[in-house]
Amino acid sequence: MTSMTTSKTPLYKQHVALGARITPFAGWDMPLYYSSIIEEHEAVRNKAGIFDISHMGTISLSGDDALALLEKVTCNDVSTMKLGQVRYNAILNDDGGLIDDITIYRKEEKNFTLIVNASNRERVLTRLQIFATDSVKIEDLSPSLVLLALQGPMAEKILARLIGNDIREIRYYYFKLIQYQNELITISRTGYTGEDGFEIYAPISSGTSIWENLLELGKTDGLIPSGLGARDILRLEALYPLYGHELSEEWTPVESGIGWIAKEKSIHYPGYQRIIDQKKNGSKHLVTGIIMDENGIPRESCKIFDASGEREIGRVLSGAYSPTLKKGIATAFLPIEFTKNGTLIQIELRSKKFRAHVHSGSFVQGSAKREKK
Amino acid sequence: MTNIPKELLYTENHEWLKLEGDVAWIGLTDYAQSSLGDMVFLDIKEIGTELKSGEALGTVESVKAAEDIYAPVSGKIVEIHSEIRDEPAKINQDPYSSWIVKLGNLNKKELDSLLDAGRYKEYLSSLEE
Repeated sequence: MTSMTTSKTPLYKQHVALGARITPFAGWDMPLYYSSIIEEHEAVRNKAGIFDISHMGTISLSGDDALALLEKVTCNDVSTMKLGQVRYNAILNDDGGLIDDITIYRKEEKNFTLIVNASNRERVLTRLQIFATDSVKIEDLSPSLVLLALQGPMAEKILARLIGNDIREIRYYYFKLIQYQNELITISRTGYTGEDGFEIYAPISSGTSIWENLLELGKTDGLIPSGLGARDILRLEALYPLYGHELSEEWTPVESGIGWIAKEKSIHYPGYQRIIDQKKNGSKHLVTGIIMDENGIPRESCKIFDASGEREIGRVLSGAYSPTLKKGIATAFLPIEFTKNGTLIQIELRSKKFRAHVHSGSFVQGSAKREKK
Repeated sequence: MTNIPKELLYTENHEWLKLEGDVAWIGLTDYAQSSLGDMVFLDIKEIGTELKSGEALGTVESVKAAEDIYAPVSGKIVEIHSEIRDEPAKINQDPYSSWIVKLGNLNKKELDSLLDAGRYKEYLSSLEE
């Protein structure tokens, strides 16, 4: 029998007080929405929204062998990371399949922090332990932290109002350590929505205070609390993958459409040959975006057919209504011959087939301040 | 508190009905719009379609799920609220102004099987348990 108990983040009472509809997610009671999913989506795209992401895992790795450990278990370069930099990466299993997608923060030469998915925290710790030597210290910092995501075109203005203009200097995928109420907090210019914004990591007391103060100070600029319902639509519009949907232990990063994070490295990570072959020659299947051509919302596990509607070629991984496109959008794991931009397909919704087409790249371009390298 | 206007009749599938002479105006209740969430697509059968009580007259799709809308009494679709069909979000904003279809040729005897406001309210309480 599995345990039916769920956990609550330190901000649970605040969500209830704000009238949130609570939903279970990865063993946590999380706000699905406060006012409405579409209203919160609209706020993030046009003004700002703030998310409680304290359910995510925070793991610290330090010591002489910390870098070697990370180079061995992940597929992106770690040694080239500057201090103060953040990098998207993945922890792989023995076959090159994905155990979790993560972000790594390089605090010092030999001091890293990993942000991992709530659902995968235990599996990540187990995997790290397999490869850890005595010269690595692994610490799970999760229970002592509040994690927030402030996202939207107004995010910088609102955050500067609370913290000060220092935060304006933080570049995309970099972070700063900042003093707030006598505690050290981490602020990075990162996010999961495609909009400009920040993720904030703080001890519980200052983190709670930051949540409340931002909501107050951001009111005049349209900041509202935002839940997982809006978050899922935003990340799908940006074509960001989600573990358990576009990412799994069965598929390599290449097959999941994030092959750009798998690098040729002198330290060969597990599944190295399989992945490098796929990068050079292409994989047989690929996670692909889809836009509906008729009114209907694709939902997870709906069947997908070729243009004739006769041959089943896959199933929907993630599906949602895009308020930006005013159409249904989805992702699917399709045979490579169906993944060219514009390929016509059909999706079965409620026993009827609807027309759709393959779309390459993100569905929506947000305000995230990506710089050219 | 969910809104349940006293003058309307209701079904256990959360449709409301207003009788104007020989025509029934049909919509979705406040409870329905709240539990379905943001509505984005509305698909309705054609004008002239004859429906039996309990037969689907259309489908509403919200961000969360798709649900059929059922004819509370037997009748024929005589008018479709095209403004609502094109902007189903109005059902969330004002469920009792946002009628969806008007039914004519009614089987008026079937009106007796519908719930009045009091009994619909009791029915909603029983769902909470």
